[in-house]
Amino acid sequence: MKIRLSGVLLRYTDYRKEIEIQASTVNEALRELCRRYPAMDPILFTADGKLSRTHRLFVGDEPIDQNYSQPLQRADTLDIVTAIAGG
Amino acid sequence: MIETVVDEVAAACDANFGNLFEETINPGAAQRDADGTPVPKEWLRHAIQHGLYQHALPRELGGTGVDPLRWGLTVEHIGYRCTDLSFTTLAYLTAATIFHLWESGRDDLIAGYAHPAARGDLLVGFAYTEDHDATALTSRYVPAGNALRLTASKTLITAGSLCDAFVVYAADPDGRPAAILVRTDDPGVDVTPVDVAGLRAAGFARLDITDSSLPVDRLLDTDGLAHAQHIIETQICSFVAGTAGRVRAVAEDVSRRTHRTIRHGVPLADYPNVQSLVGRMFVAVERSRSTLYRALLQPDHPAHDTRRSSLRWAAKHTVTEDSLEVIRLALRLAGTAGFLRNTGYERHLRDVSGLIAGGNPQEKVEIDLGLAFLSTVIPRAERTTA
Repeated sequence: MKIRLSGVLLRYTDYRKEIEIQASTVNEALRELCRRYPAMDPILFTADGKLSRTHRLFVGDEPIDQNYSQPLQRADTLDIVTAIAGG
Repeated sequence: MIETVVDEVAAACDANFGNLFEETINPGAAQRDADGTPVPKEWLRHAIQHGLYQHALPRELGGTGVDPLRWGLTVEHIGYRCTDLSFTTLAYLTAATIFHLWESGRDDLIAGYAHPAARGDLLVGFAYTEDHDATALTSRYVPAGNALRLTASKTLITAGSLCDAFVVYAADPDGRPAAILVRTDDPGVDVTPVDVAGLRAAGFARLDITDSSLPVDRLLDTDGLAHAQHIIETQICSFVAGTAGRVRAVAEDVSRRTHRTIRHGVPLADYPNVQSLVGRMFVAVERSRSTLYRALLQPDHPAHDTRRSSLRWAAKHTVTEDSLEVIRLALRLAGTAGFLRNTGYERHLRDVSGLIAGGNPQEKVEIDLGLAFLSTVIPRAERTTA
């Protein structure tokens, strides 16, 4: 499967928009992403291990609401959408 | 009909605290701008005690219930009547921080901060801006037993020199942003006024905190990024509503001037080119209001409800660009008079310039809106970017 990112998250993947990942669940995919790009971990996850509320996840066109154990198929794409205003 | 609500809110504002503008705030607006003297907090307290926050706050905090439409219209009307946009800015900003403290649900924050602030006895600021990306804060805190040790620098805080406390965003040792409540009388806290180009009576300041030891219960939210985004997102319409009202007043003022100003025996208002410029001002004013009102009519939405969120940011973008255009046209219409300080047009131009980068820079808003719109018209499976 692949993970697709945009915006502010790209700086943490050397501006690669699509990352090929081997993972069977959403949670596994996110953890693998952070293993490859450790600087992304504090931006995606809070200190208690939860995904920051500022990100939304989609598989296909379906939003993932808290169900990070959702299984993923090989052909799935996981979109991480982040909108950060201000600064 | 929206116009009915607009008129109703305006009438209530005028009845409750309208005299505050003519008698107290407006007369010294130009001098406060020249000197950089902050608006006295007592004026805000007076307006609060006369119903300023009735539509901004829940009943538990003395309001009549949160009504985003009526609150936005209140701020717009204050901008219309009050020639000092700094006061209007304080009005919406203080309401935003009070509401979010109340929203925490924590009894200590509600009793210790939300209630006093709702009475006008305390002012809490939003300390977010650094000269760095929001995801790479240099402000840092370290958990130390039952305390947090915080070192932070925030370069520009609206009303910073007037605040009694701040919500400060700082990252933990792993770089995870959090929201922390800091009082100005905490150890190591230093507030320094900043010389700004506009809104010069809004008390802009920088905040420097040096190794301040704070009780651990000052930690408001370990998801600091989301906490900040929520505050920014939910108050962005109020952020521009006052400006929309002010430039409407400017448009009316300069239009009256064109009627009084006689050139070659004819009022300026009778010249077609003047009528054209006034027409363009009218379009800009009403386009701003239409966009703003539609955004204010959106019910609260969950994060990332793209359509509703986009309307709010479209309102921010539209009001900013149209307000700059209205003042530019007013300066063209006013001629030499527009170049005089006592007209106030150049002061408002400087004030409105704060919206170009404030809240979210205009170019960033355009990118965000473009991406959001693309996401609604292009199926996700076909996109190469989210």
